[in-house]
Amino acid sequence: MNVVAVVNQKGGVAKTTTVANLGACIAERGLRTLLIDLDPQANLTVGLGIQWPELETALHSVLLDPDEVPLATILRQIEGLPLFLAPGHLDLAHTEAMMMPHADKAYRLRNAIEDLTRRQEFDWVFIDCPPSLGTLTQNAIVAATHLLIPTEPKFYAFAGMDSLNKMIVALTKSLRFRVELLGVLLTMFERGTRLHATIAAEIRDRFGDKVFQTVIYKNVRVSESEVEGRPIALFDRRASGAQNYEALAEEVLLRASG
Amino acid sequence: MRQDKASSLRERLRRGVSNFEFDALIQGVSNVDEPESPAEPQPPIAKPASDAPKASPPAATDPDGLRTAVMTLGDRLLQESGKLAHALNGHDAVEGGYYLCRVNQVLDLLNAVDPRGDLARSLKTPVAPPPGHSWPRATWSFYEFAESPISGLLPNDADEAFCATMIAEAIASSEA
Repeated sequence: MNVVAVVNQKGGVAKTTTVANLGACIAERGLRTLLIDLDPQANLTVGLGIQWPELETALHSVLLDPDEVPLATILRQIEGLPLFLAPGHLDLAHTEAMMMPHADKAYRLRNAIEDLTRRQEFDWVFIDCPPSLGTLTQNAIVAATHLLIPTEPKFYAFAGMDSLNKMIVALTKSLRFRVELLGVLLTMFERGTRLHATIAAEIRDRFGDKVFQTVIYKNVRVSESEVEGRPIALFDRRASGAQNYEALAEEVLLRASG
Repeated sequence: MRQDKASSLRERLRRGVSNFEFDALIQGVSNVDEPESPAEPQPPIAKPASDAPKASPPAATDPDGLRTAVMTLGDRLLQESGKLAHALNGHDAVEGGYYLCRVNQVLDLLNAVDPRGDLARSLKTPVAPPPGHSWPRATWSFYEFAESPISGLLPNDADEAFCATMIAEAIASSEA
């Protein structure tokens, strides 16, 4: 099983869009896929057509009281596919502080996933991280086998990845985990923009083949699909955004098998 | 973009990026096979003053006064960073600079009285830095800001000019 934390402390770099669409593309290939909405904004949850205020239990309940609320009890199936969502909730915002006194606070998500997968098999798990490097993101990194870093081709991208690098080094001093980079994904790319091309070239120079060949271009149909509460791959297969994520899914599967 | 401008941009980009490290990301990390070290100290839970942990080097001798200061500054940080976020969401670089200055001033004080953030964590201050981290540093330059978690408050379409205006306004506010 591959557990991929989709992480970047910068907001608005298409973390949520990547989790929803990459997950849908992989599930369409018949692979059992779990999406975990770890962001208190719960955009992944809403973007998949579930209204978090109506949920009695969501991911915050699992993290705060894993014995009472196992992860398996909150899952929602999406579109009849082998695609499942562990919905997020605004109350995740308070969860970090409430987990603070617990010695296992950084391992709560990993334990929940391990407990779930003893009963239900999943091929892929994608975790939508909040735009911060707090306890929730630490939980995602410790639970993950791989990191996927979506980033805009902007100068901030380097600063953000440097901070993430520092955080991971710091975490190794206090926590036990193993994680490797699945890849850096260039998102929000604008065709014909020299600045984007220049920064993308520099990112490829620094990260080499860790940067996905697939690039996610700006595409309004992706935003429209979010309004409809469906991944673009299911909403409009012909849209360039859908084709970008199909190509990414192929590349991700190839990397995982290699 | 003319060729000389493109070359200049690449050169400046290279210089900026040369300060950054990505080794752990590129190579991956694993410590699961290493022998267990002695139990890691857990972040202290708020306790009565008589047995309160002394994890942070106290900057003041009055522990109650120090706790009050950290709680008050924590509240201030929450308020000022909320105002900063609101200004940035509204794409107001000038107002953002003003509140960035105030956030910086609060961070300077927090770094002085509770350098590692241990006391704030023990008091369960909502804005306390996560374990293993100290308070963010005040950011008075473009590069410092880009590296700070506070940069996460920027709107998606903020560009260099927006940041430069905000930083300049923050500096001007501090000198006012």
